Amino acid sequence: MGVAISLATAPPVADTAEDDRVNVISGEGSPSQGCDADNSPKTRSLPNTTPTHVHAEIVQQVHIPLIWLADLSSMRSSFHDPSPSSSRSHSSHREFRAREAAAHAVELSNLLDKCKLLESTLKARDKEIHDLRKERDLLMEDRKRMQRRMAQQEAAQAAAVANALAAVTRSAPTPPPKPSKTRSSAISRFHPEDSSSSSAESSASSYRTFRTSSTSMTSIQRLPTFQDEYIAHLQSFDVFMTKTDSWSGSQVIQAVRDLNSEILQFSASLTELHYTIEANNGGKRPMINPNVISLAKQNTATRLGVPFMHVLSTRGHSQDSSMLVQFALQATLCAIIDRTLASFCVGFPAKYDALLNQLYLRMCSSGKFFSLPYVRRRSRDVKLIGLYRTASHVVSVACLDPQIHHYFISNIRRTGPRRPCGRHLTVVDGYFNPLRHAYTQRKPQESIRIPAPTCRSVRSPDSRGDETAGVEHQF
Amino acid sequence: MTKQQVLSTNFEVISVEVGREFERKHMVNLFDEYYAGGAKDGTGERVLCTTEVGLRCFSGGGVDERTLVQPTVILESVVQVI
Repeated sequence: MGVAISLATAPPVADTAEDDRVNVISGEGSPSQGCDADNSPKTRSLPNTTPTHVHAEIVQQVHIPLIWLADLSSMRSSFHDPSPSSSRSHSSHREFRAREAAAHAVELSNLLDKCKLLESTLKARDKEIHDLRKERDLLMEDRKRMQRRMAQQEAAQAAAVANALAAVTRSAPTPPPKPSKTRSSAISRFHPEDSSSSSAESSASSYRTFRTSSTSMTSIQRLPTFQDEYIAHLQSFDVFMTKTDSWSGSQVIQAVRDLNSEILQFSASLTELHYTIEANNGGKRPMINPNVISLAKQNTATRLGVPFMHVLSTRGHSQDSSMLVQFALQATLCAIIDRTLASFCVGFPAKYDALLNQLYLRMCSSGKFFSLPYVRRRSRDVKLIGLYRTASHVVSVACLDPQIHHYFISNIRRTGPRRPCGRHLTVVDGYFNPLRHAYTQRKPQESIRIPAPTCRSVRSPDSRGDETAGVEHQF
Repeated sequence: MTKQQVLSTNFEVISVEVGREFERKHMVNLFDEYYAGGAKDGTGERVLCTTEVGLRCFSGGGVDERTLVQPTVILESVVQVI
């Protein structure tokens, strides 16, 4: 079949050329025709088989090279006037035959190649047609199965409604019949085509998984368009680009003032507690290890500065020094609060937080906007900075690093004892009292406002005493 | 966190570094009543510590800065007063 189609679809030029060439060869090969043409008078009109006509046909249809035509004309001349050089004309005729045979062989090979190509194309099309037929059959079976299932569901719903109405009318509650397993087996027993349809269903489902979902019309209708996605993407930026602040400026100022008030009250209460406990102990000064004193001085100088440490260590213990201790506590709290509020994320490692801060300052100061495709504004726009801040929010960072809270707790446990604390201040001031133990007994939520992970670390049973003290003194 | 929320203005909680010169324009002296004013208003003295934090807002790439709440500081010379 393929061969027939390939020959039918082959260009007609080849066939006509083939026929013409055969005619030419037969006409030229018979010496009688040549003799007839030779015997005709010179003034007589030449028939269609004259050499010039043959040449024209060959040039027009067969496209034989000109060198062959030259050979052919020379051969014709040798036929026209028999001369002693007839042996040479025979040899040229043989050569012409050989060349013709070679040309035929080349064309035959070309036609065979073309035939093979067309056969392969035809096989591929047959396979595609077979696949499409298979898919059509599966889809039809699937559709029939869906229609059957829908009909069964509608029938079941109708039966349930009818039973419910009957129960209401009879005032006797009867449960609606539900298709049980035995019923389905019975149905399958009375309807054997269902079992065959189940196998077809499984094959259809497997084939459906093989096919893409875009082939079904329902999925095409449910697919969101590009415009919907674009609009949804732009709507996601409304969170960042809104002009409405959750807090007003006066609320922010009031919050800072409340924070200062809390700092003052906490420092005052802690200092008062410190001196109250001291008064209850009768003003006795315990002996302090010189190493502890040097360490306390070092830590206090690191956090509060050398001048304040010098004032605390040189001032005599009096009622005025309690004011200095309170100021030291306030300064410590201010430093911690400043550092905490300046960070992008509480508990984030310092080096990464410094990197975020550098990027933030660069955005603020450079005036060049960072490449955000939908925010064609300069970085001076606070919205873009707010977007960056939100991107570096604790939630986002926590999504990137879920272990950040554990890192925060371990970091506080590790660096907490080195922070300036009430114990160090009192040690520098010349006293060591059970202030730390008194605060350890209190609940962290009541004494200070520290993050929940820190509270958990304080209350964790596996935490040692020093670590608890460190966390508590972090304030 | 001042950097964790989206606001139309950038707020920043500020505190004064230890050893910085006192500037009445940007900070408040806690014991201001003990200073007579004039040449002895505390300007140019060293800051001992910060007792209350301040609030500053800036916009326009940090060009427009405004101090909404000035931080309260203690000067080194106040030790002689106490």
